Amino acid sequence: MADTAMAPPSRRFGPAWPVVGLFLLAGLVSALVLERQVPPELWWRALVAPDPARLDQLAAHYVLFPRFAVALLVGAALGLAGAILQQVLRNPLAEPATLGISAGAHLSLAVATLWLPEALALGREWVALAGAGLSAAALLALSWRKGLSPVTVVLAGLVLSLYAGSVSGVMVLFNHDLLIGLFLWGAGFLDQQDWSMAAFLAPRLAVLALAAALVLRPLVLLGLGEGGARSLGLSVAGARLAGLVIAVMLAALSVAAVGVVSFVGLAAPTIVGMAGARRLGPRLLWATLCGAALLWATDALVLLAPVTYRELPTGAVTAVLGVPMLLWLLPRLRTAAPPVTTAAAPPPRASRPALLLAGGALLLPLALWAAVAAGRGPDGWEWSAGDALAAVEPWRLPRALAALAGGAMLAVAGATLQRMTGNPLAAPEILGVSSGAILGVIVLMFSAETPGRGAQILAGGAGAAAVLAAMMALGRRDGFSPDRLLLAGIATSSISGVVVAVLMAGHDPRLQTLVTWLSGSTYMVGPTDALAAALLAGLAVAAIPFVARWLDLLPLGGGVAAALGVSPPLSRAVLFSLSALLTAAATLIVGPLSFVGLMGPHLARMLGLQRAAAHLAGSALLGGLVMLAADWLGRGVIFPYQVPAGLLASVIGGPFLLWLLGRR
Amino acid sequence: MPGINGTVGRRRVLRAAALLPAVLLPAGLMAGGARAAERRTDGGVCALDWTSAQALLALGIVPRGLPELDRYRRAVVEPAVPDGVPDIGARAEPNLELLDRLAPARFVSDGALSAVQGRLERIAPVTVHPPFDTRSDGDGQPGGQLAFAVASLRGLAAGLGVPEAAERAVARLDRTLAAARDRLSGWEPRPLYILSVLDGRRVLIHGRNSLYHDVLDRLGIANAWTGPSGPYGHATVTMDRLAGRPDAGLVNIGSEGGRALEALAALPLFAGLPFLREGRVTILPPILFYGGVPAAERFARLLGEGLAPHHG
Repeated sequence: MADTAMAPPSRRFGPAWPVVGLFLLAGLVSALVLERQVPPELWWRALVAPDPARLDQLAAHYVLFPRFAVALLVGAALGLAGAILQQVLRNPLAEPATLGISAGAHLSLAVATLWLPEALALGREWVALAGAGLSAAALLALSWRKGLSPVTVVLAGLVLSLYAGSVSGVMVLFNHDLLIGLFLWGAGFLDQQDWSMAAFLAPRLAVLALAAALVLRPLVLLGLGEGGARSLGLSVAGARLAGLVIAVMLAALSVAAVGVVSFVGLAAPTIVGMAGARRLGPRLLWATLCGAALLWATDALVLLAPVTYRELPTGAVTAVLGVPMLLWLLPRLRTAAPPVTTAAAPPPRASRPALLLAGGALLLPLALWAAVAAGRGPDGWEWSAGDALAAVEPWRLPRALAALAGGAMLAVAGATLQRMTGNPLAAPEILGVSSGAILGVIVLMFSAETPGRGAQILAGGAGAAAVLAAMMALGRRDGFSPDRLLLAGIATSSISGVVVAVLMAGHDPRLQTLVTWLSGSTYMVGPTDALAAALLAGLAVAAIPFVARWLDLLPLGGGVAAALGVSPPLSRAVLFSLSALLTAAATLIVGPLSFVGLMGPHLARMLGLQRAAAHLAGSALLGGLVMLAADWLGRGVIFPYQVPAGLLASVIGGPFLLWLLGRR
Repeated sequence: MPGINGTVGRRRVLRAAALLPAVLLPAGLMAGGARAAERRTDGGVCALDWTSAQALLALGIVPRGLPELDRYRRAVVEPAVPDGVPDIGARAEPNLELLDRLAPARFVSDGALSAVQGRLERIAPVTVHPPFDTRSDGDGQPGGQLAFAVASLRGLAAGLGVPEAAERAVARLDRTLAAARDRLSGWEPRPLYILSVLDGRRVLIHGRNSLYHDVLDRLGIANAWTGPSGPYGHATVTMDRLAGRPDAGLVNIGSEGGRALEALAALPLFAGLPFLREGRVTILPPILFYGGVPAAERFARLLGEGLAPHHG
């Protein structure tokens, strides 16, 4: 974490105290778990040579001990990978998941399950490794031209991750029964039934740890910043590449072994950094140990839990435990400068942005009309007019309108967040507000027998508002510092993913509806929802001129903005609430489509819309049009089945965005 | 270029924004609410989910449409769907536009689509037919789910004006149960784990408040799994949890299970599980575990055939 200075460490103990503490906790809890299975005097025997006639000893030998070992190994791999990534990308938010490794591995497993079952016979870890490696290679190829600049790598990684996630989402949606096992795998279960996984992991991790030790010096120099490192004769790209490859392989291995375990890669380096591991060498070592202890302790706690909770995936539990930890850490992170602000040279400005926007606005009604009139029926594609149009309009228009409005709202929220935080990765989903909405609806689904649409909207709104209030309370303490809000938002977002993973593992038929909504379907939208969405989107666009000045000035820094008569805390609070409200509304109507919130603003910038007003209006237009097109295509392409608009927007828009990123 | 002083751009954007609502509010959006009353129907009852389709077919009614037809034929199988029944799309999202064109006289739904019920009602009235009692959480009385399914089927038949069809279906179930009992008379009774292997370590196991439990009960067989189970009568557990009943047999639902079980049996830990070691494993074709009377009938018949293959 080159850009983030920590609070003064406690010099007497240094990074050892949290690590030793965690190990003590893990050992104690594990002893309690073991003791329920086998009396202490037989532990050694159960570990080394269990009595084949005794099922309890066999279970300890083949289930518990290998599980502890795998938790230690995976935790160590994630901790080391996180520490390396944070150094290489110079971004305190970097962790293995940021690179899209886990999503790539997940996708390759889904593809193999459906179309290449013989590849799975070779071993699922190899299939996962191939997917992880491919997505890492794609990541490197995309960011190579930029000399692997931290911003580009993280941005490309995020887009890749979203993209692979969307493609797996589509596949799961239409092959739910075949892929349920994959969901279980993806949820991060650590349980074992023999020593093969531990034996698979241990030698590979040892080699990678050795490799990390060998590239320590160049990695240290990277911490000096690009110029400093280059002046010392270091090939910046080469050093980064070496670090990235090691970290990617570590992450791929752990994902291949147990699925997605979040937060360990983020938490371990952060903890040891705060405890005083300043220099890179000790930081890597302690982060490795801390990751191992962290995952072992978490997993042991899961094992100790009452029987119903013992079936929870440990990966989900680390995420849940990670959230309060991260929130506790936030005020203690002293940030020297915003982490990722050095955007590449902006594309040339459009010479007549107003004309561009006016043309786009004229296109809207035409696009809307076409999206309703053209469609597919039982007899193929058709163009409806007159009575036929009146017959299909009540079914098509609300969805088209809601998609347009939802896309516009998310894009405005995304553009606002990106300008406000100076972080090109800020997507509305990162606020955590859409997660709040999701959780509200999930709680309702499982407490009410047959929830109606109105109740769903209320529950979702309540969840979104709760998260929003929490974020406001958190943000007020430090004047809405952008990166802390982002961190808190990421933490909150992860909770909803966990809840969904746990529900998936429970195999509940009610989930089918939830899954389609989460994938961004406009199916549930009725005329009232559509009108409300259109009205909100209209209000958001109308509000653009009033906030444009703030957005132009805030990125210049708090001091400059204050000198020009803008109160940074007030303007940030207003902007933040606005984007949160827009995100909540859009999420309730068209699902959590983070991709459009990222895609609209970036497309607008690439068209040369630079000033805040033009940028926001252009984002709204483009985001709306993208979603409208996705919804239209999704309704027709596999009639009578429907591909959710959000998923389709990601699947089609993702490669486009990646291509633009690489070309820049 | 709006950037010279910002005001030009702002004014233009404002004007564009003011236009937006006018553009976005075509007059026809709210129309169409009254059309349901005057529409003609082609008749027929349309199933909005698999269990409703099963119930209709069990009552001798060919549905006007049902969702995910191909997967129904693979995963539910019975009652068989005749050719020519249209596929109405995904179970989570039956295509409303297509349903409108099919113009059925009535929908039957298991209640999962309550969020769009209002718009479905504009096409045709919706009869809700819950085949499974999700409130009997774990403490279901023996016979609870089966009795619930029978009552639900009778209610649906009465609502559709064919009460005698339900009696025929229930009588068929009773005959199937009797035939299975008869077939199993030579089989040495033992408790059974009823499960589906999910991913090589984990299984979906059916407990006390499952439909299968009640069928086992009617056949005089004990359910070996007495642990907790969720609202749909099942739980996801790891294989080693099945060590509690050394005398039990294992019944895997779903044809995929054979290969998965072989892989499990190769592991030292599970090789010790008595039913794997002694080969007391029965693989049954797929059955919809919450499918009501037709699913219970299918399970009883397949279980009898599976456990006593050489009978008669």
